[in-house]
Amino acid sequence: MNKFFVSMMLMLSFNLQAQTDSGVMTKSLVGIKYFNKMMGNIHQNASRFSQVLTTISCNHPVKVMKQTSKDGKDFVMFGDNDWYLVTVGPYEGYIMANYLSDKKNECFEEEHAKFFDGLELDINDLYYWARLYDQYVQGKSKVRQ
Amino acid sequence: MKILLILAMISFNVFASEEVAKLAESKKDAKTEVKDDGKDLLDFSSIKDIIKKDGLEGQLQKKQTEKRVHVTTKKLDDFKRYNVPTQAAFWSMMSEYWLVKNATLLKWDFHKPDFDLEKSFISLLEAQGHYEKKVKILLLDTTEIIHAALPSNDDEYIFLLSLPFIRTLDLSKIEISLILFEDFIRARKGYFKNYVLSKDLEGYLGTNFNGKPFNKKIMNESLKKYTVVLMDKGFSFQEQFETTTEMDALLKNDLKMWNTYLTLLEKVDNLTKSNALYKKYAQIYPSPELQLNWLRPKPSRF
Repeated sequence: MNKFFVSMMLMLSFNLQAQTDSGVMTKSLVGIKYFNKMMGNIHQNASRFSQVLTTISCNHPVKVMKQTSKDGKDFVMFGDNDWYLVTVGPYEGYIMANYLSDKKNECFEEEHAKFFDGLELDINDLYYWARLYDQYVQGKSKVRQ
Repeated sequence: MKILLILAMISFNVFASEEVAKLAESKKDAKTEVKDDGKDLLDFSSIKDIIKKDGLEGQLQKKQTEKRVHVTTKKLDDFKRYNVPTQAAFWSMMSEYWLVKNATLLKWDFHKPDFDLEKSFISLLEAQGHYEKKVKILLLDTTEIIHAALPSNDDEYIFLLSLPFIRTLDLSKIEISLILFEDFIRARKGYFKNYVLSKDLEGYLGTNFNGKPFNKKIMNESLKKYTVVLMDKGFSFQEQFETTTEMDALLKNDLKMWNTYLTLLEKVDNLTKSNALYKKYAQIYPSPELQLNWLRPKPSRF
């Protein structure tokens, strides 16, 4: 009985500690970046399979945020160091870092606006187009020294 | 006193009506002015003499040129909105459009672990001297399509790969990379692209459809051709022979890799002969058995 009580107390204190730790993180703006793919998703967590909060299209501006811990340590990248914490409208979530650019991009749907409209994509198509960029495994070959 | 009051009221009324009339007239003038502005953006003809007298002709000309440039740019921008993409921008969009339209059939939207497939494939590309190539790999949870490279923009490659196929054959990362590399060779040779690119489509790409309806028919036909290549027609014997012989030549400098390729083809050959789910494979890529024959060293005549 005592053991049970002690373990419960330990779990409770750990939980409280975790809550306090997350509570002391402050968020601040790093800068504005632009989405550089056709369509994409803002996720609840730094994972391509986590819940989708909202969908954005090419050149959509997003506010990149950083978290600062109590001891002054800054966190800009999340997950496996390849996700940004961003704010888009009323949503705060995560997006893959290589899907954001510092400057505005040349976007297919902007360059060929009427052609893209002509495809008559419905809401289902737009959803899948954004999911496509969650599901792709991507890379680039380079000259290595 | 009363008379004085009445007189004052009458004079005020007359004054007010005159003011109202003036106001109405000025509004009318303003309206015609705005209308004139809309019709001809800068009409200074009515005050030509005054402008000449004030020495403002140069300024007027500058303003008119600025306005003309603005109007022309706006017209050109509106016109550009109807541009049909050139081949350089078309293919990746078209392939993704096909993937989106066939998402439920291909079953690519599913939760899967991170296999790091791209890393081993990129290592192979680099070992073979193919640099600055963007790679997109999409795993499918179906055997409808086993593996393929879709037409894409320059220096970009979109690969499809069936996860059930990888699991059934228990393929290693090197074997998977070799399958992708074979598709990479096919994509570079442009077999798929050439099949989809009809004369109509080729003529349509890079044009402008301002004032004409959007040619949805040509897009739907292209979508159908994608499906035909990947699920029915596949590649010809000649195309398959060219691909296999190029693989042979490229891999021969690394005998371990070449042997892995041979073993892989044997595995695929056995699977397509024994498992009904993969019967169609030999129709799309004819055929693993022939590939093995092309690859195996011929016995000496002597």
